Amino acid sequence: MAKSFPRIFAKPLAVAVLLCAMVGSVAVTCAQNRKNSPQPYASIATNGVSYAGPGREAAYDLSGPVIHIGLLAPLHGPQKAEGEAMVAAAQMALHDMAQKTLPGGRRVALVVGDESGPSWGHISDVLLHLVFVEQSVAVVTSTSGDAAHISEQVGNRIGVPILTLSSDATTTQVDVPWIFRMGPSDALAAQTIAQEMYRNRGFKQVLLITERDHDGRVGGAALQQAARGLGAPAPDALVLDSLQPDFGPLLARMQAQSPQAIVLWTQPETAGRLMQAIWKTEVRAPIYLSPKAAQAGSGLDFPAPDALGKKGSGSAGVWTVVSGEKIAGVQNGFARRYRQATGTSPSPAAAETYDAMCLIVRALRTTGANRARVRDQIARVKDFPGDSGTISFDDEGNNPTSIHLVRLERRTSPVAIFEAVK
Amino acid sequence: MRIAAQLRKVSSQWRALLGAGLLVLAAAGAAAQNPPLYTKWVNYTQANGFPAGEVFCVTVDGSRVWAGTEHGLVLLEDGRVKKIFTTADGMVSNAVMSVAVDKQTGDVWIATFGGASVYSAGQFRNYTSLSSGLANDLVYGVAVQGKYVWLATTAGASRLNTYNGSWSIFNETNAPFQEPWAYSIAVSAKKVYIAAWGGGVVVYDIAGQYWRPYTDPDGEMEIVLYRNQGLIHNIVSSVSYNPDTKMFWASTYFGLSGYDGRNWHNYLTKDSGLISNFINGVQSRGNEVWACTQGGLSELDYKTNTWVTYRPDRKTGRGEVLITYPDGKKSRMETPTSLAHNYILNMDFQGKDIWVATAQGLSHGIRQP
Repeated sequence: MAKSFPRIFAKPLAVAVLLCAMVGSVAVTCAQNRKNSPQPYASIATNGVSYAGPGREAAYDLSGPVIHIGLLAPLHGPQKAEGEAMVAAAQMALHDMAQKTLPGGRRVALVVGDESGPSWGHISDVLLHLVFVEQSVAVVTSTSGDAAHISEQVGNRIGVPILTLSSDATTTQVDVPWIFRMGPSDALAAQTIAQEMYRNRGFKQVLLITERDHDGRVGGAALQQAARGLGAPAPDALVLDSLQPDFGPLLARMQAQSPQAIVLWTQPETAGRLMQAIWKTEVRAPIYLSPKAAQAGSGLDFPAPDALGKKGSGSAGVWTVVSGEKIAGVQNGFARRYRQATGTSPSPAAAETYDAMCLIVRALRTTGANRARVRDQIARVKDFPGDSGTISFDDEGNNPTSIHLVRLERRTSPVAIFEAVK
Repeated sequence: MRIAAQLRKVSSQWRALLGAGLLVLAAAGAAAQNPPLYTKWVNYTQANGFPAGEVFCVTVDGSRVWAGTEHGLVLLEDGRVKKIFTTADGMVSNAVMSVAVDKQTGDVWIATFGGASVYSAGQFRNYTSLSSGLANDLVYGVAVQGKYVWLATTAGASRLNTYNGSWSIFNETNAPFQEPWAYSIAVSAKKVYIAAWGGGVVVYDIAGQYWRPYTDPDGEMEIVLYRNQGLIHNIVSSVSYNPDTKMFWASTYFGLSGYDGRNWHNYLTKDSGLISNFINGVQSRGNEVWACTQGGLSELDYKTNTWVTYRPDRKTGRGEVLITYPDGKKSRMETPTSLAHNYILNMDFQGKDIWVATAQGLSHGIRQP
C-alpha cells in the first residue's frame, strides 16, 4: 500500500480517477477541546465493554453443514445501489475466503435480507428472519442508523454479533458488547469536517442541511457539537423533509445567505438531487458530504472542474471523509476485481462489507459456529489489513481508524471513492 | 454400587449442612447490620424440563409464575412447570420478552419478538403490526393500566383500549421520545413510565394527558459529568415504579438511576455495591431496589444504603453473597445453592421470595427466615 500510493499521481488524471485529490489527514482535536472541561464523574471508555453472559459453550454452537452470515441491505428504492454493492462485495468475500474450508468441512453461505420497505416493521421482520429462521452466526448491516439500532438491540437480547456500516456514533455509546462499527463515526467525520472548515479554511458562515430522520438528527448534532468544540460559530441548520422534494425555498435562502460552506448530512439520493439543484444556482461554496451522503446510490454526476472555477482553490468542490491511513481498496486487488465483476468501482460500503465478511469468516475458522465466540474473536481484531483500511476494534466496538478528507470530482458512474491503484 | 451412592448422597448432605452452617455463623457475626438474605435457590433449567437458553422475563401472579424464554412461555404453578406455551398453542411468537397480568380480568398479556398475545379464557388472541394498531412486531415490554394495555415496541409505545379496541401510538412525532425505540413500560395509578432509547424515561400523566421526559442533562453518551446530575444515561433498558416510596427507577447499560420527585440518586460500580453497570432490568418495592446486571443480582436497601449481590461462584457452583455496608466495608458469604447464572435479565417478587430470570434458567430465591 505504502509503495503504491504515489502511483496515483503518475496516472493520467483523465483516465483516473473518480477520486481526485486527497488532502492530508486532519488531526482530530476533540481531546484538546475537552481540556478545559471538568473531569467527568465516570466514563464508559475507561470501563470498557465486556460480555459476561453465556453462549460460549459447545451447547450453543450452531448446527448444520452450512453456516449463515446475515446481510441486512437495501435492495429497493433510493439506496438500492448501496445494497447491491454490499451484496456483490459480500459474495466476493465469501468466494475469496472459501478457498480455505472451515473446521468439519462446513460451508459458509450468505443470506440477504432486504431492509428497504415502507415501515419499521419490515426491517425488524427481516432481521428476525435472519436471526431466528436462518440462524445467522452474525449480521452485517448497512449505513442505515435505523437498521443498526434495531439490529443492535435484537443482537443484545438474543446474542448475535452485529457488524455495522452505519456511521451513527451512538450505536457504540450504549455499552452494548455485540455491535462493531466498520467505518468512521459521525462524530469523527464531523470533527474532521469542522476542523477543515473552521480551522483550516477559516470559514465563519456554514450551512448545515440534514434530513428529518434519525441519521440526519444524529449527524447534524455531531457537526453542531464539533463546531462548539472548536469555538466556531454554530452552523445555520436547515432540516429537509424527504417527502417534500421541492428545494426552491431552500435554494432561495441559500442564495440570500451566501454561505462559505455547505454540509449535507442526508441520504445519498437526497444529496445527489440537492447538489444538482445547487449547481444550477450561483452558489459555489464547497460542499461537504457526510459518510452516508457520499455512498453509492446518490446518482451523483459531478460537473467538470472548470465549471466550478479554479480547480483546487478551495472555493468549490465536493468533499467527504474516508477512513484508512492510505487510499483503500488495493488490498488483494479488491477494487480491480470488484470493478471487473460489477462494472463499477467499489463504494466505501462495498469495501467495508467485504472486510466485515472476511472478519466473520476468519473468526469462524478460529472459533467454530458459535455466536458468542465469534463476538469475542471480532472484539479482539487488531490491525487487520482490510480493503477499507486497517481495522482494529476498541473496547466499545469502534474502529478508531484514521480519517481523511477527499475531494470528489466528475464521474459518471455511482460514487467511487476507493479507486484501485495499480 | 448402591452403598457408594448412599455414601455420596450422605457426604453431599453433610457438605450442604456444613455450608449452611458456615453461612449461618458468618451471618450471625454481622446479623446486626445485615439485611434479610436469600440463602436458598431453586433453579429451573434444561436439566429439569425448562426450555434451554435465556429466560428474558418473569412475572408473578399469586401462586402462578410466568417465565418468557426464546422457546416459549412457561407457566409454573406451586413451583412446578405446568405448561410451556408456544406458537403451536396459538401464541404469536416463541420469543417472549415481557409478561403482564391484568389483575381485574386475569388476562395474561405477552410481549414477543413477533407481536403481542393475550392469553384469555384458555385461548390466545394475537396482535401484530399488520393486524392491529401495534406499532411494531418487536415488542419489548407490556404493562396493564386500568383499561389500557401499554406495549413498548421498537417503533414507539402502543396503547390498546381494551374496552373499545382502539389503538394509540406514541413515538418521536407526538411525544418527547427523541427516537421511536421503546424498551420497557411501568405503570402507577397516575402515570405511565416508558424506557426510551435516547429519550431517557418518558412519563405520561394520565389525568393531564401530557408527556414529560427525564433525560441525561450532560448531553454526553459516554460520560457521567456529575454523580447525581439527573438520569445517568439516555439509553434506558428498563424502568420500574415503586408504589411504596413513589420513586421510579431506571436501569441503563451504564448504571442505575432513581428519582424521588425532587432529586436523582445514581449508582455506579465505582461508588456502590452495584456489581456491574450493565443493567438489563430493575425492580423496586419498599426499600428494596433490585438491579438485574450481567454480573449478578444486586439489591440496594435504599434506606440503609446497604448492597447485597447474589451470583454463582463459577468454580464451586455454590452461591456467593457479597454485602457492601454503608461505610463501604464489604463481606462475603457462601450459600450451598445459587442463582442459575450470573447474567440476570429480570426478576419479580412473590411475597418474601423472589423469582429471577437468568441467561441459563429461572431461579427461585427463598429468603432467610
